[in-house]
Amino acid sequence: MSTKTTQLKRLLSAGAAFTLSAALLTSCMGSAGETGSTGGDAVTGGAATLALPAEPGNIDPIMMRSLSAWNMYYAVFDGLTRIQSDGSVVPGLAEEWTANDTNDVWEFKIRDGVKFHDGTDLKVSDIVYTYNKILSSDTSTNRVAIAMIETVEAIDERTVRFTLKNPFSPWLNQVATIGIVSEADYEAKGPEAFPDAPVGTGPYEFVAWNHGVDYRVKKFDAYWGEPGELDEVTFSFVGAADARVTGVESASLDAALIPASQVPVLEGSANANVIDAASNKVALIGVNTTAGALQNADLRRAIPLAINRQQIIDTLLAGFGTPTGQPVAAGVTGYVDDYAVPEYDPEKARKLIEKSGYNGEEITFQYASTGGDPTDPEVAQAIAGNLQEVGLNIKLVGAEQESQSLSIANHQITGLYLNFWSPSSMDGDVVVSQLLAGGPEDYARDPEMAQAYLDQQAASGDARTEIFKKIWEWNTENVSNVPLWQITNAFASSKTLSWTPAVDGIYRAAEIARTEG
Amino acid sequence: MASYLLRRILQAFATLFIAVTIAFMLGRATGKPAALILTEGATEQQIHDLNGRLGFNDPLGVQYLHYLTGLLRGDFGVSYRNPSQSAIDIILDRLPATMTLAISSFVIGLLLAVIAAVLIHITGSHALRALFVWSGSLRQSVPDFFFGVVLVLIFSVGLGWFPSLGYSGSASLVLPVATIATAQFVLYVRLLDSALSEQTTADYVRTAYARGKRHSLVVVTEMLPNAFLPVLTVAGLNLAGLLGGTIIIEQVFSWPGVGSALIGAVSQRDFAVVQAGLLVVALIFVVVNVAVDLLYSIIDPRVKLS
Repeated sequence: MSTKTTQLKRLLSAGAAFTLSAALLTSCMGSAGETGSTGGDAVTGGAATLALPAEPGNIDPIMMRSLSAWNMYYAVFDGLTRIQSDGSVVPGLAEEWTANDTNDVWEFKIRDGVKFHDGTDLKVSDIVYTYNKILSSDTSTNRVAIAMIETVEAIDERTVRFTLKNPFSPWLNQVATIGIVSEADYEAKGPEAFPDAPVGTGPYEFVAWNHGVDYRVKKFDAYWGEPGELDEVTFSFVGAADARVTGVESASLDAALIPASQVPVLEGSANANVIDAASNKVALIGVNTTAGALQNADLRRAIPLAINRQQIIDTLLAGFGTPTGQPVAAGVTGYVDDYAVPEYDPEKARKLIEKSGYNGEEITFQYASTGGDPTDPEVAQAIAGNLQEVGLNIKLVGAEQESQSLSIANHQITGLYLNFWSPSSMDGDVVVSQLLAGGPEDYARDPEMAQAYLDQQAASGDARTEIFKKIWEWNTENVSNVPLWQITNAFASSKTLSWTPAVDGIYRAAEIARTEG
Repeated sequence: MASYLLRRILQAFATLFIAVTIAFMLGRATGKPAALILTEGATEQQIHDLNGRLGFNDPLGVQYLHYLTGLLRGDFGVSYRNPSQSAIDIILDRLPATMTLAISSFVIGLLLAVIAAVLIHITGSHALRALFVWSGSLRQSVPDFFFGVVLVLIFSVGLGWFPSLGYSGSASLVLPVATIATAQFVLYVRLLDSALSEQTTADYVRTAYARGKRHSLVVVTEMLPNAFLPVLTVAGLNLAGLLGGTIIIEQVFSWPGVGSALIGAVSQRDFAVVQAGLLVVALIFVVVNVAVDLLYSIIDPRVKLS
């Protein structure tokens, strides 16, 4: 017993004094703030912590194509072109370019005097290397995005030429998403070591990647372009939406994308503003046009008329949306100005359903019950309610987001589904291919659309927009999917941060600054 | 003792084998993952091809055999989201954060419970018991995620004392530890209190008093070690659970532990990481259970391991 006594005494003496007072939840909100864009006079220097809802599995522009990784890519790397926060494409590492008439041969003139973070000069061979490295990789997820390349070659010391397998007018957007690496550096490190010590030409250079926590970068002094404002930027990975909200409120974070449902929480916060920003994201109902009652076009045409878009936006999305009739958002190439939004007309919808001879057969409606936007379940219920009101027998089927994504990608949808599209390349090409021209979300497989898809790739300017318009009109008539609304992004932002969120929701670290005070 | 340990090691292998098999089969049952890896614009053919390159188009039996033979060579597979990192490294990377959180919460919760229970019995104060047990019931009735958020609102948003999230230094440890430790405290203080109460009428306690030992000394040196036995089993299971990752707390505080790595891997269908993670969690349970058995025999000489 005596040895045990000593042990216990030791145990007890090691105990720290700790008082737990039962704290009552009191209102911790500060004075009233306002919703709107963050302003103030920007100052150079300082640091900021920007939250990301997900950590990319890999942060390597050769190996990984990932929405969340672009936040880091746009800081550390440059593409030949650059997609600005408003979605427009401007010169990047290439200062000018030309395309042939058929948009399948592209030449880019590379700017002089660009340095990598390790001090070496950018050469055309680095660009050729980057593209070939991706194309030759078995497992690079970037390969899909540039699979249309036939050859990429250096024409002279400043010119790189891409010969494509088919005409591809959105090529300028596509090359913006490929960050250029140094051949010597990447060869030396390999895909194993590169992600933890990457070298690019971007406005910020790599400092550290603390897996599961954050990714830190600092200003690159020898940057060829407009230098970044902040000295240091930390991308912090915060999965839970409410943790992002309290993170900005408590100044642990400086900026975070938050769900619209959390916006009221931040009204009146002492530290944080809400910035609303147009996004490239459109909510839509996908339709398996080959499934049961949905094969009937009249019945499908009833769906867009049955949904009270504005009411759902106002009541469930805190107003953070704009009704739309086309599956791409304003700012994305392919968006058609003044394209008609279907009226909310339940009476007409009922008549169409009657005309279709619908016999009450069950129609499934799949949605992300968890893991998607927190409002997805409510939105799905509201839509199902609208559809039931006009006489459709809807069965809601919820699944975790990634399971739903797998069902969609594997072409296994059994009826209707709630989905979102936000093309990071800011071009409608990918949306058409996925939804209407043979992609996993295209159940109709209409030859007219397959041809229209190829036509828009070969066209440019107004002629291309005209083809997009025809595609959207076909979709309105045949209801392969039902565009619902364009999402307005809500960002929680520190009141001392000056920035404008980009339409693709991806941070442009170099364009973010601190304000005085 | 040696035969006991040998038996436990064999049992451990069986447990681990079952755990990895279940993890393997359940994961594969949810479908092939390539569609989740490829973002925007992948065609069905490209998805099919990537599944093939990653080995997911092979028959299930062949995949399983590959996996098991790999395990025997110490190859846990590679995360396909990050082919440069081995699956086991991804889990082991997260283990320090989880251990820091789990062990400090566990130790603080348990120590405070011991102190509180001993104080109740030394003083014999009904008020003290009511305070600890009732405030404990109150804490127990609040789910951890909610309690965590309340702490964040008060101490982080309101008072600005501690960071609301992340894993950077001891300040960031305070709120998550307070959340878990209070829940642990409640559990142990009740167990210890009732166990101590049972001891008060035991013969050895009467004898100790008869020998003229002071009351406080009797509680600490005689009663407490005996009252500790029932706590040990519960504490062992709890500790193993905490070490396996406290998923909800990790979410609330954006804590980079094993739990959040596992959740991420499950939703991304990163099977190799899920399997490696479950293997590590199963191993932790096995080791902690053996440790509890050994401790039992040390604290209570009546317990014989055979």
